[in-house]
Amino acid sequence: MYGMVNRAIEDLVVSSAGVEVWNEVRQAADVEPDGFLDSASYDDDVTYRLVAAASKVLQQPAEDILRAFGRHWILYTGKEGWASVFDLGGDNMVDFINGLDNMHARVQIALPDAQMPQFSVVECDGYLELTYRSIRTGFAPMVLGLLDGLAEQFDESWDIEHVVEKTETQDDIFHLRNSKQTGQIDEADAA
Amino acid sequence: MPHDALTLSPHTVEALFPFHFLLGCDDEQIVSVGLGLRELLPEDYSSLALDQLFEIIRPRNDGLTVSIIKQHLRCSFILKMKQSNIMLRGQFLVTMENTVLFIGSIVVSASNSLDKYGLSLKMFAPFDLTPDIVIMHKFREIELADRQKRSERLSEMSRSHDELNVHANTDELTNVPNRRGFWRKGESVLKKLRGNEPAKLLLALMDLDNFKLINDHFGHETGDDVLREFAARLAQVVGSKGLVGRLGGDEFVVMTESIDRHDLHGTAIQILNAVNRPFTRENLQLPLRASMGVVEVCATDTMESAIHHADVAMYEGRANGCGGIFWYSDEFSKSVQDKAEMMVRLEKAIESNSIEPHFQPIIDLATSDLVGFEALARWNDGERGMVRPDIFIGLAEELGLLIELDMAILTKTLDQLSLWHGHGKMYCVHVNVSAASIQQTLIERVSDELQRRAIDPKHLILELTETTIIENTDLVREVIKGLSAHGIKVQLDDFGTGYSSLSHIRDLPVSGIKIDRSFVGDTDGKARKVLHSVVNMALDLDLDIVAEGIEEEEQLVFLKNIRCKYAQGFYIGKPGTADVCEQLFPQLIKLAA
Repeated sequence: MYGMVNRAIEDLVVSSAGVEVWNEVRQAADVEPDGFLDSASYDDDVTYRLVAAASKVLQQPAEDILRAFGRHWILYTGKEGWASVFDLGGDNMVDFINGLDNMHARVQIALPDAQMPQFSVVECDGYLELTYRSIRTGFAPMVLGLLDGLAEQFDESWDIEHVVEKTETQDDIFHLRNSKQTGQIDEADAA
Repeated sequence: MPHDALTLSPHTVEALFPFHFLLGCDDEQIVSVGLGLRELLPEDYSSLALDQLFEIIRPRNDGLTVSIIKQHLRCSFILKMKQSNIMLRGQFLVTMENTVLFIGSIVVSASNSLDKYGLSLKMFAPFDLTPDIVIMHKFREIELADRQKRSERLSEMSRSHDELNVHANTDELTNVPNRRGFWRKGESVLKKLRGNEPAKLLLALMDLDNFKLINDHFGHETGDDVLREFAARLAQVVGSKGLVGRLGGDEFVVMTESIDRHDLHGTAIQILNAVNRPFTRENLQLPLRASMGVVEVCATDTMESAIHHADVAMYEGRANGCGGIFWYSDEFSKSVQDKAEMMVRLEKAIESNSIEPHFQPIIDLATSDLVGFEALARWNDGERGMVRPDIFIGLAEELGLLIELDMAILTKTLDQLSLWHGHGKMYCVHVNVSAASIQQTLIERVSDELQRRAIDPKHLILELTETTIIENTDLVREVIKGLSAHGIKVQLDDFGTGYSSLSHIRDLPVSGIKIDRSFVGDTDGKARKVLHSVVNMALDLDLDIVAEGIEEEEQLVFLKNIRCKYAQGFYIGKPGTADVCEQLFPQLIKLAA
């Protein structure tokens, strides 16, 4: 995992709980106090340890930590740190998600060691089906957070549901329903 | 259809070239534009003339017309969009429908966000590297920021390392380099010396002669103040041309350059004068006195050898009395080396019991009878021959082997005495005992040795110097009492040279005194009167009195006339082995008669 991911976790803990709590998390994860370098590649285990330590110190389930991290990644790290790149994704949630693989393909050239996930979207009847493929496991809650963040970023309202969990033969699948549309439909039905 | 013609559907053109536009050859009006370009053009682009939309930058020309385009079909064009100043780079192709097709991409600065043009990834063809440039640029920014962070970390580490180094190399109390720091800096000075032969370098090692006393009497706080002042004085006197270090305790070292050897001596004196001034604090004034071992450092020296030499000079200087400057020299080094070797041999000699007693006769002046001998330790150091007793006894003291030496001589003497007694020669023997041997255990040990040989204790006289008594009078008194209780006599040796304290004669249960050779040899009238008085005093106190150092007949006659009881000296007989003494007996008797 690139250092920018670990640094974003640090950023999230510091901004939400303070430096002292971050130091506790860092020590519990057995991470040196030097801080992460965004462009350096770190072992995935460091990220797992950080999430586990944050869960322990903040006394929150790891899933919640990851979801909060996904949201933070979009709203702060992505939007502020990578704004020039983030903006290429588009100006709405559907375009952005549809363009994610295209984006990652281009980012891969700059970060050749990155093991980036793949996202494919299929429009179904009244909802989008998002398939998330990754060589890593356990990051599905983070995807929920990413989607939360995107909806917030584009000021859209989506109901997001993790409908299929990853197995050896199956990828994670999410269903996204546009709440406003749903609301409008409901209103129409009511009318 | 031309052989190089290619058929593309509008949909394909749209997908592959988001920044294309199609231009009618006849009316020079834009027919259609790609998705990306549409975002950049004004909404009424279709009603505007070509030169209202674009300005041609390359190839250089006056205007953008189909005619000019057709002249430069093989050229890259750069077009500037008039309303937004955005540049497009691309090429024109002629179509079968009497149109020209421009396919290109926008030219953006790498640091620009494409968002400012309202463009997103979907508006770029997959092979268009424009978005990649933006991403690469961002990543490059991140790498540069990381490089800056790394550099700051290294600087911080280096700074911490420097601080640690200073801490590790500096003595906290005095703020001068500690042993490690001095060693390091000294090595670098030596390195320079090697490339600059004519320079003279002095290394002085010193400590305070009375520092322990200051610490004990005035407390460690005062002691610390003294050390700080000591270091400050040294730093002041050597200034920037020298180096001061504290090796530990009150031991300091100085290394300083001089112009020549004469200057070296001057510098050494300056240093000593600086540190020998009294230490003053409020109402307290303490005299400071340092001993200093000094060495002129050669280019071949190492820090280890230079400090070792200075240490040896200081140590040896101290052995000869505290205070002052002691220079190290090659001769001095050799004498130190010789001494060290001799100490090793002496230790072996004592261990192997090869130090022998020689016996010097003592006669009764009234009868001229040979009454006994003084046993004197003699060491034959093999090829080097006989070693002077004052030398090897001093070395034995440094080695802490005086007790062993005393006992070796005592037992060998008693062995000889036992032999003499066995032959009916009932002599007495005088054996010297050093201060180190004066312990309660001496009483039992001597008594045991006598009993083992069935020698009557009255035939053994132990000789103690006044110096021995002064060192621990109470213990000496107890030991003499214990020896006397066992019938063993104790005499005061070298009487008249040291304290000549009458209180010792009065207070200690000594059986007699031995008058020092310096008194016997002085023929001055006053000296003779003193000698006479001492003999009279001894007679009055019923003390045995032995005069030593008789070298002339006149001395013998004088002593006999003043009724001195016993005498010994070269005139009577030189110390020798028991065999030699035996052979001399007849001559001795004749001489005394």
